[in-house]
Amino acid sequence: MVAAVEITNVSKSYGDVEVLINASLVVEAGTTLGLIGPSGAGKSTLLRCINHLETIDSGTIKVHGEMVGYRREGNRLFELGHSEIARRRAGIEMVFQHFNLFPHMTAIENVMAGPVYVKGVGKGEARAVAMEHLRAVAVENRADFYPSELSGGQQQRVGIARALAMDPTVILLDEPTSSLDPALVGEVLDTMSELSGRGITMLVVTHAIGFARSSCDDVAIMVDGGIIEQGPPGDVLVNPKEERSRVFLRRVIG
Amino acid sequence: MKTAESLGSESSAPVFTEPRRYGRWASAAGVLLLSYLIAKSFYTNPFIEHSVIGEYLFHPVILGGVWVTITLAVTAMVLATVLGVILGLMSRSSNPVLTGINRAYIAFFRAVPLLVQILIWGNLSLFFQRLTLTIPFTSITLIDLDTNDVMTTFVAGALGLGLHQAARMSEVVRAGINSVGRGQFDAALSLGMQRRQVTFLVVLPQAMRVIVPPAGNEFISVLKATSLIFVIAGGDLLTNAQNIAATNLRVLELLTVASIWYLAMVAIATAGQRLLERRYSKGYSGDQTSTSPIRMAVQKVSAWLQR
Amino acid sequence: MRRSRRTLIALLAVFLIVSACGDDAAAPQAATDALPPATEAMNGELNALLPDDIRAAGAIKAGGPVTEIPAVYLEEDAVTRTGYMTDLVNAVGGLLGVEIEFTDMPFASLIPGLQRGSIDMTLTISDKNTHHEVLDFVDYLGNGLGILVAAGNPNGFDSLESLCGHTVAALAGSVAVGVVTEANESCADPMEIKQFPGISYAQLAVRSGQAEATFGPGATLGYVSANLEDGTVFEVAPGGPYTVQPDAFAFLKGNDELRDAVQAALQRLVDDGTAARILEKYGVDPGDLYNPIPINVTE
Repeated sequence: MVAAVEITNVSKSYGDVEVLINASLVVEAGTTLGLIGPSGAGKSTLLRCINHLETIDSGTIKVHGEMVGYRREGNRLFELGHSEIARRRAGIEMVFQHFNLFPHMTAIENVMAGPVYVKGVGKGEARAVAMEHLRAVAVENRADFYPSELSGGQQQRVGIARALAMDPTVILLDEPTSSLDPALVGEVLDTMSELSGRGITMLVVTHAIGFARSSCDDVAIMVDGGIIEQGPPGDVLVNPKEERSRVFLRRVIG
Repeated sequence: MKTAESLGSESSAPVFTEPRRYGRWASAAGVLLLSYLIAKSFYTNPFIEHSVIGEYLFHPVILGGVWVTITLAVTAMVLATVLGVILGLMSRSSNPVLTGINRAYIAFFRAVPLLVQILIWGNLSLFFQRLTLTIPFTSITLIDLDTNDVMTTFVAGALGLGLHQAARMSEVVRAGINSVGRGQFDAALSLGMQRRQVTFLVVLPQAMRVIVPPAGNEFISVLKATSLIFVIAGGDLLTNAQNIAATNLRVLELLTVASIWYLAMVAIATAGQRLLERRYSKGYSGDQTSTSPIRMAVQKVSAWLQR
Repeated sequence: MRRSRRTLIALLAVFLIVSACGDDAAAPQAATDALPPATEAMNGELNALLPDDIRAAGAIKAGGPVTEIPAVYLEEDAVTRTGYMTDLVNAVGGLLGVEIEFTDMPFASLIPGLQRGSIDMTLTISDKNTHHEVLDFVDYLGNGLGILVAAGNPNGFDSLESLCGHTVAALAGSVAVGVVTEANESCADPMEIKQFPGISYAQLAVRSGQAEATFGPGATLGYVSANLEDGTVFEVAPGGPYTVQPDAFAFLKGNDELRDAVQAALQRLVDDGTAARILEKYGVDPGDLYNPIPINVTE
């Protein structure tokens, strides 16, 4: 069976700074993987390379067996044109640390935007579906409010609804609770846990170790641009193989 | 035990009271007094003949000038905005040909004085006697026109003003686009939107908040810059007023007539700008209460009347 | 209470500053290019005619633009004033025993300048009877109007009527505009009259084809047709001269002493032939000189 996300020996530099060094990661379809590690390890960058918001210098990234940003001709990889990349992004959605809701649209318009403009769904039908998604994340009573009128937790849940409205097979979550008030983190984590039970492939960059332990099928530790451990949370968090993992875990868990 | 005459009731909570703003009332009175004195000195000036102002305020030549000024300014501004958006988007392209064109355009059209640009368009036939569009390597002619037939004063003025203004608008648009956070691009792209959709559905609507105020300023500049068509015998408001004054020597009176009309046009343009600003601020929180002195005065008076 | 007192003092200060500022935004640049003319020595009799304040100041302030070829314009160094009006007024000043202080001002500033006294006379406003409510004119040259066309006169213009149905350029607000507008009323096929701010723009329009002819003062048209690129570009159409647009020095009404002094000096220049010589130097026909020098001849 083809893995949902397959990252093989990916490297990337910004000028002289090496951000990703031979990073490799496999996420099986339908599972939830928590990606943890110290700040600056390259976790967000790796995530953004998966849906080609960032380019890579070497290695390959495949989503359901297909590369998002490149095509292969013999031994060479060429970056694809923008419209083709946009098409390939269709099944991959992202939830952001700073929510990135469209401020000039209401909550429901945000959720409708993808289906209406990318998939060409009619506005009436899209509105009904969007309402369902908002109900699923418990924000339906705020459907006609603007993002500026919502709390952080509500905005992030709208962000999740917006991603879900596109019926993705893979959802990438980039530190989804890091910008939230501690009191609001719980409601978003609950939403995410509920999602992971539905069979969508989820890749979550997070600092919430508790979530990684309780809701993830796999956990990967990333340090200094590379993945040093990957496995079920019971193994990685309790009995890590690498010394650097132990150092990191000692700091966050104690 | 307090008596009934004592101040304040012991049973009710203190009431929130607006402070008596003596400083504000005094400064308001001062400003009004100053305005009155300035207006009075204009009104009682022996060199200004008020009947002449009244006589020419709705004179057909003046009204014709107002019409030319408005239509020319609006046409030029529409041209400038469309071209400015295209140029502004070009400036953010990764294609060096596009950024090069953008830079060359701005460098040229911002530098050459507007007067010269209008003069050249108006006398374009000195350079190109006919305007033709042919398909290269064939003898098929799509367009063949006499330059002087095409270049009326209106067309020349609109081109001169519009192309010059497009260079300025391009920078305004660029600033607007830059003001939209990177995260907005990320979110729109990750939804699978094509780049054109990202530009027109997500980025430009947000950029408008930053674009509208300086664009409003630019429009008002264009309204006044229309007077430069005097150099190609154009008939805008200021030129017509000055031409009348050249015949009857009533220079100050005619300029006052022109100024009154400019004040009216700019006031309407400003009101339109405020409406646009409000429309593009949907969804943005922030203190929206206006401190317009007229509205507050009306509120105070009606509150006082209702007492 | 302290806050409102400070506010009142600030307001008072602003008020005082505003009222202390005079009406002048900027003083006119007084370019003293008056050359002592080599023609006539100072004449005590004429000098006595001047009003006291001018005699005391030793100068007459004259205003006008510097773009009226060949009347008032700049030499190639772009600094020295020349032209027949310039030379004439300098000769007048020499006779009266005063300097002429020139100020470069556009048309719109001339009347306000006279009214507030920053200039005493204007050089380039032609005599028009509608102006006589406000100004007195000392006329010296009966400048007839003419039609300027491209060399070869392709449209064959020879009269005002022949301009019907064509595009005519004229100098904004001049007598010429009035004349050609009036002629337009009896045209079956109307003229399109375009008003330009100066002769340079009007002749550019004729060259580019935006206009088919220019209607304006004969002296100017003659000079342009004879001198531009050795006379190969323009020519004066036959059938002139039309209405006269007299060259004159203009004074604010009521300024009789200065007006009469200038008139007397001009008369002297006509009588001894100096005026004729000055005009000939610029290719203007001295036969158009008025003799005697009238006041408000278009009344």
